[in-house]
Amino acid sequence: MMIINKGNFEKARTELLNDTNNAVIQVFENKNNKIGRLSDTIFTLKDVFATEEWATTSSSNILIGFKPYYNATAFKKLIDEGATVVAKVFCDELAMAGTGTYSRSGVITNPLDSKRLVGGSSSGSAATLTKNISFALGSDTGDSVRLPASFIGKVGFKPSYGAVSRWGLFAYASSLDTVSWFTHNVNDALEVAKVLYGIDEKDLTSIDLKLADISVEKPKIIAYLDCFEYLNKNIANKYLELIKKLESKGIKVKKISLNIDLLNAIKPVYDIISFSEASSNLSNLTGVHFGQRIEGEDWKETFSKTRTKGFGFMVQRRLALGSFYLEKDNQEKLFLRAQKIRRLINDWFTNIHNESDILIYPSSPEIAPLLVDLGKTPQNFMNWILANSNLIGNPSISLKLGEYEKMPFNISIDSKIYNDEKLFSHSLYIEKMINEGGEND
Amino acid sequence: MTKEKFILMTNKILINIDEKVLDSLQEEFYFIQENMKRIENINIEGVEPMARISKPITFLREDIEGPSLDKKKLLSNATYHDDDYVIMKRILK
Repeated sequence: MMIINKGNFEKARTELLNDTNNAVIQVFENKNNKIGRLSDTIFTLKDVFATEEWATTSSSNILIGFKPYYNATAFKKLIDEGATVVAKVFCDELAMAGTGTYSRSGVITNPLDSKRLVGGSSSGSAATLTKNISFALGSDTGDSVRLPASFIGKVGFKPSYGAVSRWGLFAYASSLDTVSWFTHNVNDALEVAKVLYGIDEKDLTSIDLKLADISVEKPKIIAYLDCFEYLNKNIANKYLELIKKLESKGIKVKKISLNIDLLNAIKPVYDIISFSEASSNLSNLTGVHFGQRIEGEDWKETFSKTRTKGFGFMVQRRLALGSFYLEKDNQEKLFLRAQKIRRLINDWFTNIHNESDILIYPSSPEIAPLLVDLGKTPQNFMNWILANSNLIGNPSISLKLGEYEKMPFNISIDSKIYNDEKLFSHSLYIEKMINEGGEND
Repeated sequence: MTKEKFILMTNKILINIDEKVLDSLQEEFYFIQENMKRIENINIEGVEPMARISKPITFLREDIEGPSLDKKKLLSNATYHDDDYVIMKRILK
């Protein structure tokens, strides 16, 4: 198998140079001449990966001008296999938001409808992914690739935790962060995975997870969440149609009754764990060794001035809450409790994974929301459902299921942790089946 | 939750929290608390906390010298530095 959609360097450059959506940091002039399995394949790089030649700021004012002087393992692997990076793209600051409205560059909107959110934190990656770009390398801590993928109707893939080295990926929440990527189809997500997977001595959480020859394979048992009442009716109808279609192919479909308490707990557990980990990870941003230092009367004032001026709204908000969750009185009541409920969420989903080949559910209960509705519309657990895969660490892929109001929405396909081969085989099957239906031509 | 409490907490992590962030936290604190209530009634008796996905790393690597970054380049990222060190105002007076 080979990459199907390789992109076009010159056309991509022209598009990116003309970007007016606050999405592009830097467009590169030269193609990569290395020969490898990704030769002539064009990609964009989220501003959270260390690069030897260029600054990486994680789209935060505090890191303007910071040059890591080394390449993140994932980026290096792509370059070594001949892929060409055409641009660095902005994201929500320090990868900490899910809207695309918190980059230091300004608001990044949906390329299909500028009145709508593109999602985040990999907002610039999603906003610029045209046919002229093969894939976009991003990161996914809660849903940062898979949700924007749904808002633009492309494929978003998050591997099993540890399958791809995080070395050189700027940390947000270390127990949840995963190198992830957008593509135009499942095959290309797999081809990128074949390059990126592998153990790395620089990341002690990395594992050796093989991706052998994978081909289209019909699953025997598919579990699906019985979540219809929590979805927009257009999505619910299409979801039901898919389940019936799968059943008509002789696949056993298994309805999963909801554990509402646990599903409602995904957001608070994610918030408590990720904000708390972030408040620790980001304590190195002081302006001493790197970043935009603002000098004070003493070291403490220097740190404070630097961090206050350097961090934007959402980062300050999340760090404040992280600090609250880690307060002495809250450590047991909130932080430790969240870690225990994470275990229960893990056990509930893993039990489903154990009894089926894959689990499916819509990636979002709605299409990309309008910017004017941000924070105003009622939400339910389906708005946060994708974070379950970060809490558990299992692989998860999101691919286009349908459209309404001329906007796309995706279906998520998950498998048990470390069963990435299986996930790809069955996702190829489901993608083929959806496309044969003619909806996504 | 009072503004003063948030100010005190964020001062501990060396941030003088922005007024707009404070206002939003105050406005939304009811919803944040509602969110927290969602985990209050779940029975966690006998459940082991899940702090990470991979097994804890319990060994130390051998001290083998590997490639390192060039000192001059590293120092160039610091706002104030000389040829050998990052420069800070005196900490101990």
